[in-house]
Amino acid sequence: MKIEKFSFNENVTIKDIIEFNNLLKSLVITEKYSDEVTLKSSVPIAAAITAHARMYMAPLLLDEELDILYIDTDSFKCTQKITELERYKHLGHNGLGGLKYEYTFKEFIALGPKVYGGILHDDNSEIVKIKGFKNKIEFDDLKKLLLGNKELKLSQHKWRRDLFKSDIKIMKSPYNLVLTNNKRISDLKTLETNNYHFDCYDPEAVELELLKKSLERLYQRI
Amino acid sequence: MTKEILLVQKFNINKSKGFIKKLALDPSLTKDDLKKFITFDIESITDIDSLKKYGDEIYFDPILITAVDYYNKNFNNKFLRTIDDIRIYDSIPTQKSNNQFNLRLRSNVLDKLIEFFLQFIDKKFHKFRLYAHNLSSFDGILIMEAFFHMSEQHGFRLEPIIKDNKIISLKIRFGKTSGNKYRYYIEFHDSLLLLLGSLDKLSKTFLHDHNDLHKINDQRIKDLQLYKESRNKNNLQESLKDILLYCERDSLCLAVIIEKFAELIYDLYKLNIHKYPTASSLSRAIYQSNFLESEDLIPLISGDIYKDIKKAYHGGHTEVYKLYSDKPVYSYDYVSMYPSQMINQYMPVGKINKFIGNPLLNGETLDSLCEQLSFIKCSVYVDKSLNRPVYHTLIKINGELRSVCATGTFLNQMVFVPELMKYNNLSNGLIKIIPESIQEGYTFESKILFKDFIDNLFTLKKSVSKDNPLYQISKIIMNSLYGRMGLRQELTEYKFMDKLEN
Repeated sequence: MKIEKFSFNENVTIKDIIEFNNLLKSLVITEKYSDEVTLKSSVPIAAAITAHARMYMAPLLLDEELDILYIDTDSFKCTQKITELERYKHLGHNGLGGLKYEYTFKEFIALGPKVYGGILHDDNSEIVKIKGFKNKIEFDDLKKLLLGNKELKLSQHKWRRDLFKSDIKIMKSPYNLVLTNNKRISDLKTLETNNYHFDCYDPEAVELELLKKSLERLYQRI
Repeated sequence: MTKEILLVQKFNINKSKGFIKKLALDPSLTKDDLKKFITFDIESITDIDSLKKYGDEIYFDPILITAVDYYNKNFNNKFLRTIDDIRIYDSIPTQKSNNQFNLRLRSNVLDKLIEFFLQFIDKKFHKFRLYAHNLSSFDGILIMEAFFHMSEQHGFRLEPIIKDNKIISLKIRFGKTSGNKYRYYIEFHDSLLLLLGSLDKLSKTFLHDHNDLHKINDQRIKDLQLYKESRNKNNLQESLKDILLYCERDSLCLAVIIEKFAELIYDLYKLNIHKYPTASSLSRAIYQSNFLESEDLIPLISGDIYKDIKKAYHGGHTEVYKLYSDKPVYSYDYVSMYPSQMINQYMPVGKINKFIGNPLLNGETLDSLCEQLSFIKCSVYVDKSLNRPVYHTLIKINGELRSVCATGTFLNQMVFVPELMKYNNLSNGLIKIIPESIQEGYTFESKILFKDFIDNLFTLKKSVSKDNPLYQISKIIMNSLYGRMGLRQELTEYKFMDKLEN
């Protein structure tokens, strides 16, 4: 089938056309969205399951007496032994939904979601986890970054893949670790974070504003 | 009829899409069918040492392919590069020339790959699966171009399913009839997407009693592939023999793991794993065939309802509240968080009703909307005094849309009413739906859906030790189902067509 005929005859959105050396045919990539496809799924169920997981953690998060440093989906880092507190004793079991103690840090730093590290109490070994970065980093480097408020310049090997050229390559790329205020605002004096506050936030107005701006740009060009 | 009632319009929107059907088990499925697969593995070389400054890049050059035809117990291998090729490759110093080398000798490799795979384009392999571990982001990419050429040269049809730039599956149809149909096919799957673990780890659990079949974990052979220096220091002829042995073992080890996995799933659920390219599709099939109670329970959701309710679909809480502590910090993990909620919570299912207007003016209450597991569009108030506000919403911060828990008033939100009611209760009204702001929404019937499914898998997980493959299998299946339920309603299709005429 000729591509022109295909694009005129059928109600499709062509996303890309890839041509190859030494090949007679081209690869035509089309996209269909929720109006045209019914993949067998049920988003209300997925939304309810993740909501229940958040609800399950909420009593602890809203408990002002708990001194929580860091949370990630199904875990807490806290300066109290949660399951030894009378009101949370019922959570201390190994069955489904139990809150299981893992280990104790004697020193701990969290810089952002999935960016944290600490020194273990038992054997002084380090655990440092940095999202999207595979090489080893010392806990001390995290500490310098936080207390010296310096950028941590790291480098890593990044994989790049080109499916249609059959290319796999590794690139040497910089990775700059900085303290961001993407989810909460960091206070370097108290070493705590504060939440963002919006007197009135309307996502639809933000979207409209964006649309207006892009239209204005379009008019200017014309 | 009062004025208020007129404000609320109700729609029944359960017309055409239907429900998730029960999956019938195939009574003709035998253990022999489970053996109808082939594993393959490609080894390649590169030189990591030449990555000196930012922006430097190095390419992988495939040198060898092996395959195990598990059904007929045949081993196949083919060198894609000669010793001379490899010496030329290593004599060119910079990354750019490597690329040129690739271009110059590429057609040579393509021809050899085509020759290798043509042996499986045979009706005796009809419906066979071909597995590579990490096909989607390694081996599959290296062979893609060869397949484009092979299909054009021989009149096959390629049907790839690609998601987020990853090859989920790739079907090659062959045996064209006069009616432009194809009689046969073989299909490529990525065993990593099904087993979700490295070959090394999998071989330690699945092949616990077969040390002779374990993946060879030899740093020397890895170095031979990754560093020019290592290739120069060693006898290349001998090194290639070692790499061949290593590659053959990988293919065999993967084959035995897949057979074991296939038999375990067959024994437990009477399903054929080769039909399912990912852990989540297998998980869904297990649920639909063995645990789904009735046919008109889980509505298939796309179109506008999908777009609306997706706005209320958020991930878990991930936050930093304090940056530092030099006092002891205790780390806690929940045991199977998502399964623990799936097992006993009521899920929004059955007939869906859409309403436009504020149903609170029509006799409904927030509690009754909560009971109907409603998703509603409304405004949400989160009091400024909360230090750890738990209401998730999408906000543009520093130019990017982010999932944030903030305080303030948020207009035009899509929320799951039971979640907001829970926060309302826990915070004594400091987090709440603003009642007069409700504009529209969806109500559902409610049912506990996954109790037997999770019970079965969690019991299985608890019954074996951590190094038993069933531990890993039950964990994967248990955790893969909810994500499948939230699958994005987007489909990218790939078609080969005659070029545009210039």
